[in-house]
Amino acid sequence: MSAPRAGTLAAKTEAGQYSCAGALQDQQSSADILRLREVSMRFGGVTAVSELDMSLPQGTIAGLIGPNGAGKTTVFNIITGFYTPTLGEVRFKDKNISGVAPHRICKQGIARTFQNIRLFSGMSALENVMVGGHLRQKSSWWMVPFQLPSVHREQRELREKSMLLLQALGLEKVAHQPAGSLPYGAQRRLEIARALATNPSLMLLDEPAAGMNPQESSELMRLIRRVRDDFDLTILLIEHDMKVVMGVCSHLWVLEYGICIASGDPASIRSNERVIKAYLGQEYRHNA
Amino acid sequence: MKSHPLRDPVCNLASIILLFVLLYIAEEYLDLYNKRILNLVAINTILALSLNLIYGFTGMFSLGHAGFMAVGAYVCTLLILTPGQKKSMWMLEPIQPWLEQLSFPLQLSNLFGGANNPALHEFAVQLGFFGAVLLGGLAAAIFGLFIALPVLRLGGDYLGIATLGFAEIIRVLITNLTPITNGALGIKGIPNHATLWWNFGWLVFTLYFIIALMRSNVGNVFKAVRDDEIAAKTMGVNSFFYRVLAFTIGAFFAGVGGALMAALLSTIDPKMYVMMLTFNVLMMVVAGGLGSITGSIIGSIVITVMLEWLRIVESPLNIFGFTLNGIPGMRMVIFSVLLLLIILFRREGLMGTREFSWDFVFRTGRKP
Ligand SMILES: Nc1ncnc2c1ncn2[C@@H]1O[C@H](COP(=O)(O)OP(=O)(O)OP(=O)(O)O)[C@@H](O)[C@H]1O
Ligand SMILES: [Mg+2]
Repeated sequence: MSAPRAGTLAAKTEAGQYSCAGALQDQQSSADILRLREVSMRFGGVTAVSELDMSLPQGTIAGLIGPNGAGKTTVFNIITGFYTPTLGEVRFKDKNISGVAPHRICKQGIARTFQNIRLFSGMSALENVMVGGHLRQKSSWWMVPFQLPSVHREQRELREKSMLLLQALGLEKVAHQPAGSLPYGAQRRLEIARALATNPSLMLLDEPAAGMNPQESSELMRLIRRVRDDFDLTILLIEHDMKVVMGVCSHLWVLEYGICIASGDPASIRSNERVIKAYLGQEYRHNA
Repeated sequence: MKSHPLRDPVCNLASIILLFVLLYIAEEYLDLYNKRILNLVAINTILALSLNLIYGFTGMFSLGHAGFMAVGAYVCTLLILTPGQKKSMWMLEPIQPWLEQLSFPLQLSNLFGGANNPALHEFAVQLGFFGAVLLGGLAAAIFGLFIALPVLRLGGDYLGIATLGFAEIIRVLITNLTPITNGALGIKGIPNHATLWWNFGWLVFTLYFIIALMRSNVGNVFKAVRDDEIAAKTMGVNSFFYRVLAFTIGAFFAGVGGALMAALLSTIDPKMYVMMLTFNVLMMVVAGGLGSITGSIIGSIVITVMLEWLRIVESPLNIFGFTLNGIPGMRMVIFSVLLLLIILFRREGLMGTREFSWDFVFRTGRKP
């Protein structure tokens, strides 16, 4: 266990629910929706993530930050089942989900967006969202050609529900346009709408504000909070825009070379010497 | 503006009725050659739609169509030949006894007591043919399933090569399983049950099935797997399942097309089911537009008709007293060049991914 490191951490978290070091494990509350236990991920000689501990209480908005190549996206890929961690385990709602296939993990309630937008670009915005909703459909494929009334009804309900989601994200006007032709900001919001359609309880956002101007990103902050409240979500986000991170997250983990170098509330992270040195930089302290 | 909710179903029904009225006229007044072209158009459209489902809508590059067609053709043929035909045709090696006795039309006719009732006999024959085509399709679907499971499990990167190999294996098997398939000699005198009615009937069914599927959310999921498999998985799509599904359904309709084709041509042999056959179907799909049902229909019509017209370049030609010898295979050269041109200058094909819709018809109709 990495006891020496734990000492330097800003781990003065209120209830001790959030954790970065293993030392806090025993204080974890059962309200945690997601828990990573000493998760490590190696690719050949590269250790992208090393002995990461995280626990995320239900209903929070938390952030994962760190310099480029620190292993943040890798953490998302582990949680969503694209990588099986070399060591350690991921628990979601008290079930071990490490090594479970991505589509099964989605079904259990984890949705995500991608750093490089991955929409179904040839399909309309509405169809994109409908794909997200397919999980909750009861009728199976072979019922479709029989034109059963129940299939029709379900199809119509799915369409209406998807339309509502588009509305919630201000995309109803572009519902029938190809996703690939939408402006950048709209594509990012469409990814969120599509993820919401899977009816998740945990949402992972990978750099949602990337490429947005200050006005768009402050709208995004409002949107993230609203989505959390309206859909009863827990949100974990990766973001380089410190205004967004500090503005919306109640807790942060800082990764550097795959190692968690600090975790805590935004204020403590902002003043953490090690984080300033590794990531935020001196200017940030002056500006803050 | 909103259209009447019954407009589209009524229009669809009306066009199907119109189609069958036209077929009736064609059946009565067209000569054999032109009827044959119409029949080929119907069968080729079924084949193109099935490949479009696999390649255009679900994004799996498959070169196995000739194999599925062969399976459908042989299964159907063996089920409709009479025991007498089988006995006399299998000259190299006698046919398996259990297979010799198998003949749907005959057995059904006996069952219904068709011997003393011609109408009942005719009904039994047609029902037998329907069952044989259906089983031909199902057999192809089973083969499709067996190839899809291992190859798509590995991610499907080598699907093109694997399906090409599969089609070759089928061909070799047919050539060598003489007691079942009559080997390299092939089968002649297949009862010509594939009338305009059957071919267009199956085409309407294929269209209905595929349109229903693609209009439902299953269609959205197929397209999602094509556009971005990783994102699809993240959205909870079991991409493996849906790819196997699309592939198997595609194989089914390819088998149906193969079965109808056999009954139309009334002769089959292993040499028919080479790569070239797959290539023709691929041409229709690519020319019409990958991912467009309308495109597949148009592509099939255009290319079937052109393939017939281009026979001219393969027969001796007499221009102003000069005699040009026909060059065998020239049709295919022209076609390959055409495919190249499409890929270079109009990748999305004639239709792109656009579809025919009644909305479009009514809107353009209203404009002055
Ligand atoms: N599949 C993989 N194979 C090999 N190495 C990988 C793989 N995925 C990630 N890595 C490596 O892991 C490290 C962490 O990458 P990751 O994408 O998680 O960084 P990140 O924190 O998201 O960076 P950024 O802020 O630039 O998005 C990098 O060195 C990367 O090269
Ligand atoms: Mg990243």
